[in-house]
Amino acid sequence: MKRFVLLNRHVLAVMENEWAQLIRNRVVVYTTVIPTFLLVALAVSVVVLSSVVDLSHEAINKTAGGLLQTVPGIEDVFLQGADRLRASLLSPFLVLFQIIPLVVPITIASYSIVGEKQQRSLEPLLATPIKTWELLLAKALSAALPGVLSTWWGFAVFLAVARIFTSDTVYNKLLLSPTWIFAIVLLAPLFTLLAVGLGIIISSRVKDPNSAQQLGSLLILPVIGLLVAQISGAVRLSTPFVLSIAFGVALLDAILLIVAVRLFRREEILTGWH
Amino acid sequence: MYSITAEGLGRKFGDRWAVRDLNLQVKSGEVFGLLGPNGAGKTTTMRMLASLIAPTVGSATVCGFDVVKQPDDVRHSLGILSEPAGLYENLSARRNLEYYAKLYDLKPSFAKSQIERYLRLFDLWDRREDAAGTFSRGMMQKLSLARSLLHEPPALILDEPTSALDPEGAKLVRDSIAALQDEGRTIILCTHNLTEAQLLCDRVAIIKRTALRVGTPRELQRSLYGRQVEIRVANALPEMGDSALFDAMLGRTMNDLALLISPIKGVGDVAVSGDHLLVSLLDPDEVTPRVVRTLVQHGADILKVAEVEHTLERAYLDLIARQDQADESLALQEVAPVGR
Repeated sequence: MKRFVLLNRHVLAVMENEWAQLIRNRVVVYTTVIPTFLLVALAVSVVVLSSVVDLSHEAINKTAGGLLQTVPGIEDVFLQGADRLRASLLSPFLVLFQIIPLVVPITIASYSIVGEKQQRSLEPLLATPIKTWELLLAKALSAALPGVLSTWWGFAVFLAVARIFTSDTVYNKLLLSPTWIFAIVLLAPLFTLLAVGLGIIISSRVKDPNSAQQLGSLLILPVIGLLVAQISGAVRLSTPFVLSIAFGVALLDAILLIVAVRLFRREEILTGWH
Repeated sequence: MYSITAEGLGRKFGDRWAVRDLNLQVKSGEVFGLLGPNGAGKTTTMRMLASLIAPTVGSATVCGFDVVKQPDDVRHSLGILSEPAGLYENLSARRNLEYYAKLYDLKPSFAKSQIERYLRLFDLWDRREDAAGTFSRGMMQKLSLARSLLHEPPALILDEPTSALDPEGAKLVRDSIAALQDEGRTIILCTHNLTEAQLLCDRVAIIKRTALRVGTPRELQRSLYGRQVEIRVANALPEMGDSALFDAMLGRTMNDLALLISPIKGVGDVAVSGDHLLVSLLDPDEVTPRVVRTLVQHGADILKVAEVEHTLERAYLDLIARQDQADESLALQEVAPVGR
């Protein structure tokens, strides 16, 4: 009996082919690397600047104001003086880091699938013995892995810089709090899957990658809304809150996966994708 | 032994039949032409045979494998050249082929030798590291043909293989098709180039949703026009009005000669065209000598006797025109008011 291997030769071949094409596509490289780089650079700058600005008690009260009430996942008892301001400045990055797993995969998925449609390469590809689940898995992984890895890479850089420029309290009780860890380790991959699923669905219905990318970018809006709610103090990003968002996103992922699997049938691709 | 078969094959999209009641039997080692106008169902037929879409009704096999029940075996046995080429344009020719070699489960060493073999065969070896997008359409077509041959399939479906090729490229591809046939491969050739079909195909099917006719190009012509002999006469006159007057003055007219041979057993229609008689015969081998003898006995000097070969193009156009007329009649009947 033939042994079932998830990451088999077909899947790896498609992934290798995807990435070989993507790194030759300047638009994809720019639209995935630049936002990630800018976001990480911003986060690192805030960490560094917060270590050198005036953090007197008066300044803290004057500038931080209500924000101090919304620092996620950390008890007030740990936040004293300058650390409270640092925490309030860094806490929005919990949400901002969620933009990376949305932007990167949707861009890659859009160019990958719409690119195949534009090059008319789907028919010869589907005429090979590749299974449609192998193709779907490979396309999804090709888009998802860079999304997850760039989020984790960005967060690792952020943590490394924060280790140097912030106090142990902020580092251990805020950045390594369960809220942040769940958000980065659990929520980011779930957002990636959401972006991939949506990218596949949108790409099956549009003719050019830009349209797919623009439609997919609407995904960022709820995250921006969450950021505004967090900054304005409307929501408090606690661990249960992050876990409940993760649960909701996981449900959405499951629905999108079912739709994507239906769209990724040979017949549907050849006759239903335009 | 048939390599590709279709029995009552049909495919419906919504309430419209793209292909209906299609029966084909393609012999092993045969080059079989699939001819038809745009929208005739050629692509749908190709896709059903390649296990890309499922038939609504009927069945088909490729190299003995059922296209519905054994799709993987069908795909391993079949190479497809699609139109357009469908290459990854920002990847090199070599990488394009390497990718497909992996998808066809070729062992790395075999894949490497196959890639070199076909890139050299199609004169692309020196451009192997160039992006496929920098190639001319002809080169892309050749690369696409190389891709379809990598896994050495016993059967091939080639869709417009010489379209967009310059004469040298087209000849190379035609020669390759002939060589592939010599290797014993079965080839289905979809083309609008009827001269090419006549040149390459052992048999053809003219399809418009269903197979209108199947046979060798000659069988097809004979089934449409019967067999005709063209006889050129040197000393007869063209029809000029009062034949009695001219008969008396100058001799027999072509029409007189036509009337002379019409009663001969085995002669069908006789048509006159200039100094030619076009004679339909049931069995030219038997009847032609009698016809020629009669003409000579009545003073005609025969310059040439030859069996008429109609082009495949003419047969194709006539068949499609007939089918169009039949479709129009059917449509008129369907919209005609029901009698009270």
